[in-house]
Amino acid sequence: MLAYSAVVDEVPGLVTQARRGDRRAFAELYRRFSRAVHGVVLARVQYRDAADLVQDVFAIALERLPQLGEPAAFPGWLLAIARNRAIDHVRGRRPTDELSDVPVDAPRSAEVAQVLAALRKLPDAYQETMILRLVEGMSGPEIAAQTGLSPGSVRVNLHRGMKLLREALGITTAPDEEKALSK
Amino acid sequence: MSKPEDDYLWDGSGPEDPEVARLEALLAPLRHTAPLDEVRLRRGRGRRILGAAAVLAVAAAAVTLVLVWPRADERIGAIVRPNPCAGGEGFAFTAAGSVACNDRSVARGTLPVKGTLDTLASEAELAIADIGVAKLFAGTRVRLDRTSVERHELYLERGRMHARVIAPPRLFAVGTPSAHVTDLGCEYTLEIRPDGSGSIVVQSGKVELASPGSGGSGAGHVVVVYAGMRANLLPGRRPGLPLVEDSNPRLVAACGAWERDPEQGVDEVLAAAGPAEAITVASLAELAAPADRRRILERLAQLSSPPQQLTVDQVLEEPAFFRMWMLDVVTRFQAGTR
Repeated sequence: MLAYSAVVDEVPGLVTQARRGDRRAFAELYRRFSRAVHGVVLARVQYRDAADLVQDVFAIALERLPQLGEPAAFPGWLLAIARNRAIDHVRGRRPTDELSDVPVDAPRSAEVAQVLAALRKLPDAYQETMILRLVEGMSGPEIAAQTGLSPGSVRVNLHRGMKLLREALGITTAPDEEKALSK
Repeated sequence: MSKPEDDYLWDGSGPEDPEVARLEALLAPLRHTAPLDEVRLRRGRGRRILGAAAVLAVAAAAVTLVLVWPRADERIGAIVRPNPCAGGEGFAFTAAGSVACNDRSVARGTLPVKGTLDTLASEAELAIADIGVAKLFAGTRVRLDRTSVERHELYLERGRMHARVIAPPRLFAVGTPSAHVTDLGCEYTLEIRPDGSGSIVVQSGKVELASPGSGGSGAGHVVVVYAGMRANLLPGRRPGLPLVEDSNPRLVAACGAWERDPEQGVDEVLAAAGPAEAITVASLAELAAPADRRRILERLAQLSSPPQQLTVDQVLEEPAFFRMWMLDVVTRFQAGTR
């Protein structure tokens, strides 16, 4: 829980400093939150567009930082910008083949695309949480700190989301068996 | 109680969930690792600032359009009647920038009878029918009261105009809050301040100043200002005393005092005036109270002797003798032999 409390405790100070024009503080906010923004964006847009949108979201955030009321609300506020920006981006666009854009070799790219598609088909409540966990490599406490969700909700989302993903991908391996195999 | 595999999914603790680990490994290349792009950040901000500027520009244009666009009743009016500043009877005008004719923003047009022209921050040239032209300076507002072959009349509400007229006397006149200015064939600059007071400087010919309300009929207080002279215009009162442009400062001050208090200022005007300012004293004789007239004429006789050896008593008895004397004073003034 150290990461969770550290993020929650330090963010308001960083936001306050960034508001005063401290670019290092803003860069630190980027370092801490860019993966979360990327995950939120990736849940809605193609991989090749996600990185650009992340920069875009932070540019918007920097512009609007003076409008943010409570510094502690920064995480939820930032991800709301990310969601809106992603929705704006995909509005009116035709889906295209994502395989060629995934930065993995050809044999695995199809599977990556398949998993991504499955993740995006998860219910909204699980979608972002699962991408943040599996793609961005964030822990449950980090996800909770950076999304504003309670740790309990994140845990439930991960459990149920993983269950649905297994079903979607046709993974039947019982956890207990896997656990036994790993020992 | 959470299951052990959920612990791995939760925070990586506990026994590894191989499927979760496999998916993590599979998707890890997609993880965001790019640093903050400062260049793009600035460019993005600049683009947004430009975007905001564009939005503001569009908004400003919209506001301007709303302000300038004729009101609905005017648009309807434009359909059923011609634009009153677009032609027809009146004084034609052109402006260096935008002016307001009947509160409509235009650069040129025709000022109709009873119409107003406000130069705003621009200058405009207004034709006085076919007998002259008036330059209207910025901040000037005029109204065309009348135009006919017998008489053309403007009303200068505020601002400054320079008029040049080549026509028989009394064909062109300008009303003001202070005096009625009748052209007697000349060129002059007339200025009216926001409080209604003003001044006139005559460059050539002469103009007649009459008390407000006289309508230039000559009734009431009337004085003539000749080329090379100036006069103050006093709101709601008689015209000021005409002064030669290079009058001595003491006389200028004395005339100011007389304009403020005619009963107390006569003696100082008479004392301050020299032979060169005899025309001012002659004008004082026309404007002052009858009780003051004898001592004014006696002082005038010292500065510019009456023609044909007339006496002050004779002049007091016969107005024609005064006009004869006045003509002699003016002739000397214009001849520079004052």
